[in-house]
Amino acid sequence: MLVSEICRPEVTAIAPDETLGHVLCLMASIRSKLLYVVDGAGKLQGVVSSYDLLKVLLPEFLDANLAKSVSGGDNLLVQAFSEHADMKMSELMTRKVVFCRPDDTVLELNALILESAVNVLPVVDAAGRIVGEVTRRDILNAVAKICCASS
Amino acid sequence: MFWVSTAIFVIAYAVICSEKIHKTKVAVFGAALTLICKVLSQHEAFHDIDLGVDWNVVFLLISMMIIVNIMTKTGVFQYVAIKSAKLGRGNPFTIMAIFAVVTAVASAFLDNVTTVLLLAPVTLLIARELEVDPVPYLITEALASNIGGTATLIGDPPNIMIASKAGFDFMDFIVHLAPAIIVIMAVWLLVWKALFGKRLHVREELKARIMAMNERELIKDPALLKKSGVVLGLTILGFMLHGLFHYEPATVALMGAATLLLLSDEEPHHILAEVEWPTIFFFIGLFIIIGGTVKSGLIEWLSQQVILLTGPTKESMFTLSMVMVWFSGIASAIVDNIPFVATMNPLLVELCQKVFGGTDPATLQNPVMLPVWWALALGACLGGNGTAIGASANVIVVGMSEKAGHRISFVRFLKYGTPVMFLTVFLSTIYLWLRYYVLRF
Repeated sequence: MLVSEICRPEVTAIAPDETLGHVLCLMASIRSKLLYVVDGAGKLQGVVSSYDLLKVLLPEFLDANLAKSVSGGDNLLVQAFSEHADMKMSELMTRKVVFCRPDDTVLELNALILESAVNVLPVVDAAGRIVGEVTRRDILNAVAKICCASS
Repeated sequence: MFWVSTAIFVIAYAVICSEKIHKTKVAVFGAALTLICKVLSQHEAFHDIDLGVDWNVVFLLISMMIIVNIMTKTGVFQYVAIKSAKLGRGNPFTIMAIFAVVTAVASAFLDNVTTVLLLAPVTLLIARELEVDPVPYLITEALASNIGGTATLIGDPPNIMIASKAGFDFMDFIVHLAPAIIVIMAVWLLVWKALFGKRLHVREELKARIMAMNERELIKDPALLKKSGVVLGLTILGFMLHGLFHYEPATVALMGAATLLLLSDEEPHHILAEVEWPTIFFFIGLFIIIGGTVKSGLIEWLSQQVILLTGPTKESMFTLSMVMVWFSGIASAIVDNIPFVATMNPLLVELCQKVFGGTDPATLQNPVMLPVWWALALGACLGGNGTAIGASANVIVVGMSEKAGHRISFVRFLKYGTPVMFLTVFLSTIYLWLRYYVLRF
């Protein structure tokens, strides 16, 4: 089975100079797992994950234990947001992206996602354009389909 | 050999001060050179306490780091910090003063870096909730940790080194230095109240945020807290009694660390990985480099110069004490106080040999020498407050503040630290003069 058979075509591409303030408030309407930062020609420059966004929005000095002492705490999130609202996606994104090709096999994907320890793999065509994404669960579903069909 | 060891010593010092290469790398490389050039034999470096590594210092540091690392996992330090802020009822200056006292007391028994590392995140949280600038709070904590650490044998590395070299026990520090530190803390906080008391204001609803905080949730592991609390308590009791039972402080600390390792469920490799090995190897390297200069005669020559300059006699070393406290203070503000004290220790031993003709603990601790050691301890520890690079706690605070988006420039730290350094060294001078030369007790 190939990546092109299981990949999700719904991906959200954004420009490198989009701000955190703008993107975060659109989050509820974004269906793709990662945000794909592309240049004018549509070539993938980097990705922004939920982890990247959550990290910026948490005051740096808080850990899970200390956070328990705060009552409410929404004000801390809002303050961190207002401090970073102008941050550009190009500052936030991971540039060294682990990706796969539409003609890669599920076996390759299985190995790649374990080695890279990411949750989502972008699918990129030969021209460097984003064409879709595959999640861990998609790969597991594909593996299940292969194994259960053979038994 | 004289020139080889002098060259290694001077170059190592210069490179450490320049901060171009990490100080641990410099110290370990200098130590290796000392051995390869045969300034010291390996046997002298590893097994001779006067020329080589002072394992008493090394094991005391490692053991205390193990105890604190285990204790940190219980969440008790965050609990104490939030509780302290609530004790201040959200009043910004009261919180600053309480945090200073908590930091000073904690630093007297734990190392200064750990204390500020544990308190700084809570301070940043409190400052954000109160919508005040966290920088004065963070600098106050660094200053308090250096002052508080001066009070006990285990509070600051210079004291550990001095105790080991001159054979002082824990109670000697409590009797001779703690009273000075209590007075210094009180005067400093009064000055701070005059400076900050009226300037810091927050709205009532922000104070309510602090009072609404819940500190009880912060204790992660009550069972481990009980165990580590008992072990730390017994270890401190052991320190107080170690002179009586003829144990070295490192033996007491090692017993505490070993017991807590045994009682906790933590994997030893996790706990041991968190020991600050770069600091430990910095000490090991320094001891060997300095040992080389002791053997080659550089330290003896330096002590001769100090005798010529300050004229110590069997009856009085007044000039030397006064010069020592100021020279140590200013030197420690500019260079790391650990290599400074590592150099001054053998120098004073050499000086004692020349004046009294012996270096056994009784001679090193005789009433005429005594104020000189205390002058070194007070100067070296309190001098660290002078600049942002004067003490490790300062470096840590500056780093953490910058990470949280509040850059502390070198000059801004100077504005707080240098006056405090001069004030505290001045008070130390008065204390030394009054206690050892006027009242003589």
